[in-house]
Amino acid sequence: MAKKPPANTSHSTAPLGHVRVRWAETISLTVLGILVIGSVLAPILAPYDPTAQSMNRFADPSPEHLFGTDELGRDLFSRIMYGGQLTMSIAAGATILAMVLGIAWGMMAAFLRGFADEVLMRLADSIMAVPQILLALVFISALGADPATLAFVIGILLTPTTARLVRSSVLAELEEDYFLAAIAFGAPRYRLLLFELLPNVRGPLTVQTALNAANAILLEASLSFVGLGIAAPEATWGSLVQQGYQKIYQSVTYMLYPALLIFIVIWLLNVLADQLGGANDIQGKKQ
Amino acid sequence: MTAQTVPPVLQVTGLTVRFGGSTPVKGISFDLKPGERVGLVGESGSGKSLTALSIMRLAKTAKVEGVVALDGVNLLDVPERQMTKVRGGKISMVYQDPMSSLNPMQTIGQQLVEAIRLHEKISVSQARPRALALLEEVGVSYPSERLNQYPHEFSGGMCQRVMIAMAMSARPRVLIADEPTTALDVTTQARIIDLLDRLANDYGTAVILITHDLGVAAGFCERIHVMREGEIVESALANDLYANPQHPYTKKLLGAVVDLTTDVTAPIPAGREGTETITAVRGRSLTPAAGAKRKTLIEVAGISKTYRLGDGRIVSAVDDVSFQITKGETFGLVGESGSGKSTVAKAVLALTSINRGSVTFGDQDLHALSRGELRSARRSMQMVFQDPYSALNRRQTASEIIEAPLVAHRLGTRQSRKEQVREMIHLVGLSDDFAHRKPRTLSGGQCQRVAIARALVLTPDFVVLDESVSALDVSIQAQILNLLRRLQGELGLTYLFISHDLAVIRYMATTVAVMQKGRIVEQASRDDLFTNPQHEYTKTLMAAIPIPDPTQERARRRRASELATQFDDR
Repeated sequence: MAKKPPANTSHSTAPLGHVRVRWAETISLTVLGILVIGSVLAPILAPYDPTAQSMNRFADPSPEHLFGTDELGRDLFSRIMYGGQLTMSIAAGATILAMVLGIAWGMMAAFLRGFADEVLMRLADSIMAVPQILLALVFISALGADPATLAFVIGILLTPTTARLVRSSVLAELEEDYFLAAIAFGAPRYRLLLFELLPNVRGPLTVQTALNAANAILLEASLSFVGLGIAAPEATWGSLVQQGYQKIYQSVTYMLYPALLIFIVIWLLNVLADQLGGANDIQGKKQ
Repeated sequence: MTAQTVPPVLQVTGLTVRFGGSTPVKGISFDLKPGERVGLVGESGSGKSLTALSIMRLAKTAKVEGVVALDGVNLLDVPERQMTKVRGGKISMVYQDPMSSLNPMQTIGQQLVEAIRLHEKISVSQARPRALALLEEVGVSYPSERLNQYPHEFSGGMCQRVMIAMAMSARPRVLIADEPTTALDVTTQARIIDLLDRLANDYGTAVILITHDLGVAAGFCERIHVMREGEIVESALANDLYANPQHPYTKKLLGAVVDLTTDVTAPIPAGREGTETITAVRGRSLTPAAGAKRKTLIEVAGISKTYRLGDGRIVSAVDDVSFQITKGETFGLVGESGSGKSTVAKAVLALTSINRGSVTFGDQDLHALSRGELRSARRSMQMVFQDPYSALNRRQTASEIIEAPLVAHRLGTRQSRKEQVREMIHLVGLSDDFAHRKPRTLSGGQCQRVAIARALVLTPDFVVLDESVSALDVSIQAQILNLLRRLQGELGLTYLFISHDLAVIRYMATTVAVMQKGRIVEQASRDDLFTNPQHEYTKTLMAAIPIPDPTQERARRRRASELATQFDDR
């Protein structure tokens, strides 16, 4: 009669010691890991100085220049490695900001309920109602386009969806008796939020983190593409695509490689989110 | 032909069900003669529901071996396409939770018509009068209006009637009823069993009743198979089984049942094992002084609580409820679902606001305290919930859960808290290796012990037990009840014990209040209430308790069914 979590019924669990390898998860984590390491260690690993010019312009990919060179003869492979550094820093900054703000926002709404909930959620709705690019345009024209500002603006844009997710996950948890039990034994509010509720919404939050990172990269690339990204000579993958696009008749590969990397990273992050979501279902409390 | 030579309608031989590496059903065999009622009785995990699903070939991921012969045809060999004709046609099933078994998006009429047309080639307009007649037959009042209503407009009992109507629509040879009354109130239970009884008679349907409740099985079944860990440990005619159980497990089960004849002065015999390992806890027993016994600990004065519904209507959950609880006693609050007893529990602990009245604990008015004052006051009052899985944080280990109240009130050092948690684990009859396990890996009874440990770690004076044993198997229930009584004696606790089960209330409480529709309709000492109930509703509740004795149970059910009709508000 008790609502037993499925994992507890002995016949529904896999035999002990038999852990299924989740290939999709492992592969995407490995590839993403390589990309992150490659970017972080760009100063050590990159074959060329990303700003060093040469007369060898629009070179095709060769063992010397893996991805070829650009209009000023700079090595594209090195440019992409350094660009990854900036792209990932912006994405990471934006994701962290979105998670912190989103968790606080969503938890407050779920916890306070009533009028505060109404105000917080309608605010989230209004932000979500305006196209993200449009909002970003306004912010960036006002604040300028340095990496910190970009991370900040993108982070703000990702916050409302995160807040909504946190709110709905927390609302479901509030129905569980352990929350009432914690109030009943006299847990202070911060403990209720941080030690009772937060660990139980970790699952959906992990998924959202992966999705937020993917969206941050996409947003940054979109902004760069419409000319609101980082100013030259510094470059992100997005601004490399934009520059390559202008020279598409001189070199196809110029634009192709950064675009491909953006695609791969976003794709793998989505695969990862999918896998994590599935794993949560299995470990979750009910079905 | 004599009764012995009638061929069985269903013959199960060596039924084995495997899931991965485990075998939850281990080669069970039984027969079902036409029109016979057989009970599969066992506790959770005994494999009784899985047996039913395997007979219907609904245990999809399992490997099923053996023979399930329906009129001589082995259903395990029948192609799936033909099986859909058997299900609902020759064998049908009624499930535990009627609310979730009905489609919320379709009217009752649509679902009944669909069920009828699955097994008969007739048009919708022809099927509709049949649906109407069925609904009338299962005792749904105003059937023609009811046909156009949706499941959410029906009570649980009415939904189960509809499910039975659907199951019986094709006049099946066999009906499998899997815990058909477990989700229902006691007064409704008797009437549903009565209905099954009548329909099975009229249609000549053989019934397999799956239940954990020995009382329910006693009144309904002719033959009973007791299941344990996937095996039938004892099969006997109902009369023999109850009068003279052979297998130790059957004896233990029957001994664990709390009914109106249970000796309230002694521990429940079958619940004793498992509590003997407990070592005495040093310096914690505080036997109350004889003089202090009469002191009132809790005074609930005229509390009322109303809710506003979405459409603006105001419903009253608790209406002018007053009672006092003396220090060291157990105050029992009994009522059916929706009677407001859980709201009272929360109001007493100031876990929900109230519209009127007051709750005085010691000398403090709980509902007038500031948040900080209330938080300190919570140190001396605790609660144990019904569903132990929901009540424990699934991300924490048992020791983290038990330690949490100490941390919340910043009591002791890390080392002293560890020591206290260890003591509590022993006190509730668990061993040290449970400390690092998460709720998911514990059984319901073990979870409830952890929840009790958490409630007692702050050494409270007062504990509210809201249906705390209702979700547990009988043998576990007996253990927990014994544990609660022992702890009360050792620690001088005061309990507010809330249950829908009068027999359990009688065993635990010295003073009892009966709640109905938000009000206390009767309050008396245990002896007065059970020997001389005054209110009609109390009598109805009392008559609704199934008795694990076939002859008594049949007579009782008829009485209960008649009494319950007067509280029909559907």
